[in-house]
Amino acid sequence: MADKVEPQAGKTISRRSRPVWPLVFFLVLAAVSLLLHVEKNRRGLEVRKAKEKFAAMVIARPIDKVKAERTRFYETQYYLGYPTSVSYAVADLILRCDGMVRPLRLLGVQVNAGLQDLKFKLTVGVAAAGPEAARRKFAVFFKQLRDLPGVTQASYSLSGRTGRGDGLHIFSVRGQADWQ
Amino acid sequence: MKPSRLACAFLWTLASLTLLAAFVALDWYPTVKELGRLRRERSDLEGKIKNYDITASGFVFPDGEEEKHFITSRGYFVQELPWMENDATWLRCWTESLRRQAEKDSLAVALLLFPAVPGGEMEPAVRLTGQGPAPDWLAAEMPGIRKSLNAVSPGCFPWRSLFPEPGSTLELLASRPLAVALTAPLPALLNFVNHNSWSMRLEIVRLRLEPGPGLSRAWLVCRSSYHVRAPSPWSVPLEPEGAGGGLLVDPDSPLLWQRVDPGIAYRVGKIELPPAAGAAARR
Repeated sequence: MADKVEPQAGKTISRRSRPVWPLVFFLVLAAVSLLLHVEKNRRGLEVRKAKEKFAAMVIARPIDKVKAERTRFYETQYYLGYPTSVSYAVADLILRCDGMVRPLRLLGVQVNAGLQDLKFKLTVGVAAAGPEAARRKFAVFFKQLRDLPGVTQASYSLSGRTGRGDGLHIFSVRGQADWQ
Repeated sequence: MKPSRLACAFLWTLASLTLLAAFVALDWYPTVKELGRLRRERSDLEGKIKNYDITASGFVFPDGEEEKHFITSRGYFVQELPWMENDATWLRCWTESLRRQAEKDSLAVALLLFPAVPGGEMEPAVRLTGQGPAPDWLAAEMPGIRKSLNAVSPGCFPWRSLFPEPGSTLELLASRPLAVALTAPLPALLNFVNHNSWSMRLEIVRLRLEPGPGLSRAWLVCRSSYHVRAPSPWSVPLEPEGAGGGLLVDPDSPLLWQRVDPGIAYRVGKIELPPAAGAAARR
């Protein structure tokens, strides 16, 4: 036969069978690729389904949207009530300070209104013979001030004495009040 | 084995290995990588779905009543700021509103002060009530008043987050500072401080007061906000100055998991000061 050319170890090898094993090798490689791609498509499909399921859940039960709406509601209520509330809180704070300051003298008040709280600075004059006596008198007022509802911080310093005949010792109080 | 056959076998092996390497590098490796990514993505999604399910089971979703609260709140929000043709209309409105209140609260003297443009010179004071020249203490306080007015620039508008994105009413929003200088007995003065925002939206930013035995004196700087149809130097810029400073609501607050309760929502109406004001007046 023309295509049987080389006997080896008692066998004959066909010329046509020679390219078969590379082809088989290639097919095996291609099959592995195919399997990998099939698996990839399957997982891609699963991911897509999971995404669709999650999106459907978010649409059906929109937690973030509701939370945003509630946040906006509370912010809006705060915004609407802010001007009257802060006006009241400022006036009320001064009124209370003025009401409890006697026999000391309230010489000045400054209030800075923030979105959440009020920062205040009071200047209080105390008529007393010496700094220690003034400090004792002032301590009574300061305790009352600290006990005021809403006052969250307060500190004071003795900042000097008026040069005039009344001889007032001047105390500066800095504090913060929660106006809600 | 002949050398030619050996070379041939070597070449075949080399070609096979090259083919294998090509498959691995160009297809298998990217595919396996992609498979890993898809596996992670799927498990992430499954975790999210599970968590969302658990979260949703503890979350109270709105009912009709709550939807009504949302609608009502939005309605109040839309009506809160007045619409002005231009800044001159703003001046007329606020002047009239403050004048009425100053007269009602029996202030001895009340002057309205405001700058012409942001950071600019002051316009002549507008007398709201009282007679005679401006009180002499006002000149000494002017630097403080001007400094406070300049601090209330439209760029620092703190309610920006409540106004929707550009293209809506934010573009027509203006925020303008004004100051009111007052002389009056302390109770009347405090009543005015309390009442000043009752008819027009006016937010107190700073108040400085010196109580006196008869008349007390004070100045307060406020922020007024309005919608304006004509271009205004007081328009709130679309880009805020600086960061933060606005309202912050904790997104994890348990309050947001329940239906809104207007009783919890903080909104104080118009409340008169306690009767101590009267007592203070008598002292």
